[in-house]
Amino acid sequence: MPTLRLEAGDLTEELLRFVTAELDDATLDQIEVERTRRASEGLASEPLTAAATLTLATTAVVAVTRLIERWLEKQRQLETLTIVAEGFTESDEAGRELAKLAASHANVSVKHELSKEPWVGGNR
Amino acid sequence: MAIRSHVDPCLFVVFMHVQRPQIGEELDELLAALRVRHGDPVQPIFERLHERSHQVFFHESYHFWQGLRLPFLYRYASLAFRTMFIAFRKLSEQTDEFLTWDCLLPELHRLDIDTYAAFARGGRISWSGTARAMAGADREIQLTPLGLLECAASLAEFQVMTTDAERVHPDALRRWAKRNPSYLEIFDFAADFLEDRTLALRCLLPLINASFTTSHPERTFVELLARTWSTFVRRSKLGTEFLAQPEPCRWRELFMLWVSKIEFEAKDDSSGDILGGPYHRLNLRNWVRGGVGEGGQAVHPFLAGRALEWEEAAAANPILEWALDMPGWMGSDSLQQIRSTFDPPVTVLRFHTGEQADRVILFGMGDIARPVVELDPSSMRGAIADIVTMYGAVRRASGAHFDAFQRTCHHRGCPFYEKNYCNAYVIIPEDHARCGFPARIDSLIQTWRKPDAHASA
Repeated sequence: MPTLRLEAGDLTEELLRFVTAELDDATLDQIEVERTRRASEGLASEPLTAAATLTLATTAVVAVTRLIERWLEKQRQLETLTIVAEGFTESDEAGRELAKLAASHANVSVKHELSKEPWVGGNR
Repeated sequence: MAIRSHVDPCLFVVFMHVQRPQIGEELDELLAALRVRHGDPVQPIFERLHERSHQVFFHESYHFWQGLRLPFLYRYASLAFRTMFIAFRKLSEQTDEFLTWDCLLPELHRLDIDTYAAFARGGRISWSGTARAMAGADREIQLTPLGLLECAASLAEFQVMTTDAERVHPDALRRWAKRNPSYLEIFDFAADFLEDRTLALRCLLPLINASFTTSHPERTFVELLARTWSTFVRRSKLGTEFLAQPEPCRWRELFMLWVSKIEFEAKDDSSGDILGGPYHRLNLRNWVRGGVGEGGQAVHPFLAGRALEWEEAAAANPILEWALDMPGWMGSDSLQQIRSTFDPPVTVLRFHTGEQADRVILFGMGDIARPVVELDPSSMRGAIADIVTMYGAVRRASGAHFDAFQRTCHHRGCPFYEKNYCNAYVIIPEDHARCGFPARIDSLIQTWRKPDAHASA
């Protein structure tokens, strides 16, 4: 399955909450969400999200990318958003959506990487 | 980088950090207009907090209740607080140059010590101090007391944010965990072992809480999971009848019954050793009345009063235990009443408004340690300031319960900022030149350096 890794600094959790709240339950059920948390250093603390990886079907990538676009429109405090895409190419529909996103927002960078699973489609 | 909200598990002061993205225009205007200072009413601020901040508030309040109600944690906090106090005294005696202080306090790492639980399908589960101790294990997980406390807080958060129907539905938990940051690795492990996510969802929160009635909660957690498997997964008659009941079921009583059947290595409350000691049962009623064991009396300044109050109230009204074991079924009115009665006595709220003008307010200030110790309001404020001053310096010197990013202050130009020994100090002036931290810590150090300090203490 393709994956999208999202890193938006201190706003990563806010982005993720926006995207997952906007998705209906049926679509959300098709997506795996994995948060990378910052270590808690012996404190009983709120979980802080450093990055998030979404594992999702190519069709869902398009929906998620459009939600990210909507979130970006409301954002004034974002410094950078890095999206690492695995398992699909820039010429796919999903890849083209991501390219459009990067082209219209100077603080968004999109990188395509080879999937760690060799049986999933290549990149570039 | 964002500073995390937390409850310090030794001090049990709540440090809330409200980040810029969570400060809407209304709140921003209110903060600017009110020029909020200590003692101002905080309700208008609460009403304007972002939904996520309310969630974090509940998470941290739940941790505070764990400190009040879980014997292991209450005992840890009391003994660790005393350890911190002694460390401050010893460091003061060595040198009054506090910016050079450095020490090791192994006891204050008890909540982080890794042990391991492993299981093989079919009901075999083990607990060990070392990894990969179980041959043929299908799954293994690192267990720490802190990990268990966090898992419990996440399950409690899920319960209060969902409806009756969703609360026992694993799909609802799965979706909630996608939409909210949480600590559910231990839940996943338990659900996998029990081969039933619904069962895990129904029983795990009270099971974790019952584990904290012994000196080794990690070990008891595994013990109770094993008994849960043999009763409910194998579907004994008792198990089938029990599960046929709708929630809320009497899980707490069941788990406490099972705890009473464990063969312990020593009699109840027999040790004041934070790090080790034989496996034994802990009784909260004993610890909230001053504690026993080798270490003698231990009174916690921020937990003792409310813990005693809750202990007495729970004896008359057992439904109070639901706040920890099944808060979702309490009803919002009852839960709100408990939140206002047993709120943390000291909460530090820092608004990261940016532009070197953050707001820090302290609220909930009141009856610390009452009825164990009676203080007038002015002495109480002084005592709070002294305690957070000493604690911040010791946690910086020892690294225990210390996140290098933790700060209450935004004055980067202050000469004390970089070293961050003032990480828990709560009175932040507009101009750092007027900060009382240096004078207060110096005064405390000099007090402890006097030859007659021990006698007066």
